Amino acid sequence: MVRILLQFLTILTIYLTGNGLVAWLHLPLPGSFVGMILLFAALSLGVFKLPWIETIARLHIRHFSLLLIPSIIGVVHYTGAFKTEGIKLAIILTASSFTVLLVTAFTAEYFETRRKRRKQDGNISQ
Amino acid sequence: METLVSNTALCTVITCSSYAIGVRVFEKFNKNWLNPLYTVTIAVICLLALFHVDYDRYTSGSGIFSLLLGTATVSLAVPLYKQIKLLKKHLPIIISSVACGMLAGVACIVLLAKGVDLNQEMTLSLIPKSVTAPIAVSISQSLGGIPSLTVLFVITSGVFSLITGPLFFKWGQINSRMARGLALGASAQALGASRAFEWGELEGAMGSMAVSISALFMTLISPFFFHLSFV
Repeated sequence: MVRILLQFLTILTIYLTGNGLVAWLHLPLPGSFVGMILLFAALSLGVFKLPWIETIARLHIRHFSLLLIPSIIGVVHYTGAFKTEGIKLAIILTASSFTVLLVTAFTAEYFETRRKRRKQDGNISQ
Repeated sequence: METLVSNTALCTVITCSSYAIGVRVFEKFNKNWLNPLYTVTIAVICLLALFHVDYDRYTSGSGIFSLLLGTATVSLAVPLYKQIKLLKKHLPIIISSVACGMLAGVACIVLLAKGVDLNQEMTLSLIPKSVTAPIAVSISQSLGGIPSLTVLFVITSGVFSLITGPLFFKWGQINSRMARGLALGASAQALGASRAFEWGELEGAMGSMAVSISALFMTLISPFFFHLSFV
């Protein structure tokens, strides 16, 4: 329990540092995002060890949806907008989700096939 | 001070108890559309109506959740770090495919929104909908959108992609395991990454990498898109 609390305080400190940096340098980025980059850098450089924060990180990620509920409740104020704009929104959401899926998959597939082919060509010429 | 404490207690109790039930229901029936975010949201709204609690009272008590959402976002560095080897090895493919997917998605939103004459607030709330929810909320805020709508859009497009994704891979003959993982992670975020893990370790790792890279990419380009579409 104490360990989890300590881990939480560590993550919290990183988060607040991220917020502080954003305010201080007037970055156009969310503080939490800067905190994520800081933690990633600290782990990669070996300043931080994974066990220091691993338990709390896993706990956070597992219950992500719980943390999002209060921010989604505000939609009740916009039910009127759904009546007038609902169909437009449905069209855009469907089309853009499909676009992301399609373009990401085809780009990755294209690059991977090309790399494989290049590797094969390399083998033949050797 | 006293009201803040009681509002926080009220918000926490209602949210956590609804969540506990919503997760149980989801685990029991295991259907995509029963995603806890939908069921729990509906449960909370019903509870608030049942006990005649004002929405503003609920919202004013939700500060603790925004704080935890911040620390949760910081925690996302951990899965990214764990896959650093895979990330380094496939960096060009990961970055180029996710970047193309994101750009095409935003372009699609902006063009269609102009086409159907959607109001600006809604469009701005739609733009970050292909990144993981906590980051989408902050992007939406900084663009001038409505964060709660953005969360709803993120989840809805996530569930849609989760259902149509596998069909599309079959139809489009996407056989690369990396491509499947990346596409599902980029379009369905955390939902997609966890589904990709069911297909295999590589798919799952690619899925969660797509979640982080898309968030990174979108955070960096969204201010530019804002100027491009509305100036």
